[in-house]
Amino acid sequence: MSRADLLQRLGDVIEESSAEDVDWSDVTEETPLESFGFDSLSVLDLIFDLDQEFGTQLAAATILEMQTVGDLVTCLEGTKTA
Amino acid sequence: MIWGSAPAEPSPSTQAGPAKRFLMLRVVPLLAVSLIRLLDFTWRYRETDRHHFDAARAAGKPIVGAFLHGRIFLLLRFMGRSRNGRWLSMCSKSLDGDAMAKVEETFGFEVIRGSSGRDGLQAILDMIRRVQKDPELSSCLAIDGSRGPRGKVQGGIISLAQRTGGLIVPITAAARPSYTLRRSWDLTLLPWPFARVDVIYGEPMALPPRLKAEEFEAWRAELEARITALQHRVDEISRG
Repeated sequence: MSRADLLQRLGDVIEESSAEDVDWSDVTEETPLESFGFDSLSVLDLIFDLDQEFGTQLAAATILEMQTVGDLVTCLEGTKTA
Repeated sequence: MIWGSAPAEPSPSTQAGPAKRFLMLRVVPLLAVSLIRLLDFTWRYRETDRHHFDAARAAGKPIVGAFLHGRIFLLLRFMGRSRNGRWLSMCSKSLDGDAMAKVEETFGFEVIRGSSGRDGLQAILDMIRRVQKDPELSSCLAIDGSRGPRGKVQGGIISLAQRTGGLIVPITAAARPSYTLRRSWDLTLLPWPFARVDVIYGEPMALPPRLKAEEFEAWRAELEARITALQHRVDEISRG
């Protein structure tokens, strides 16, 4: 799966789990993850949605140490190719 | 803001000196288990509205037990009995948590460690994943833990119930005669030997899998209201 495909699928997940209305067409790989308005509980939704969509089992700290959408895509890329 | 927050600090249990670690990991759990076993032998338990718990178990969904921190001492041995199923709980990564985890494990609980911040988030995550793999495993949380405010429900239990598809069953207790640790934040209640311990169960709560922020808060507040009312009721029952 290409990086662009991952980014698009990630958009679907974040739109679903974010507490705020997200317009994914404005999002780039440089967009900070904190701009989506996740709090400590809604980030759980994100983690489980990622589990479901990408078959990951990410740790909370792994997600929280990422800065941008691109970091998350890179992580998912590694998971899918591992 | 959650992104960019400080990583979890090293656990106090790994920073304590060897003497204190020995005390908290070996001596305190042994004394606590022995004391609880001895007291439990003399206590007379009386249950109210047990049918709520039985109905929740019969529904074939995971049970998420909602306890109050200050009443755990009364419930630990009782809920750990085999007729109440297998339980998963959470203890903090503090030195106190080390001792508590040992006690809970002795009474048959499976324990996941963490309490607040990233550790707490990871612990909730681990609990959810564990129950998803084994839906017959009941989970429980001290809903106002680990450090209060007393009676204020934290959001973790809502997430736990949402993601496991479990039914929240509020469970609390009172005892008479008993002693209250007035200087503890949770007003820990310790029944005297030969006390009557009243255990009460609330109506199970089924939550939707997806909640908007305001709905999440509404469920949290609803649980808080229910367990507060339940505590008042069991206190009255206990007073006779």
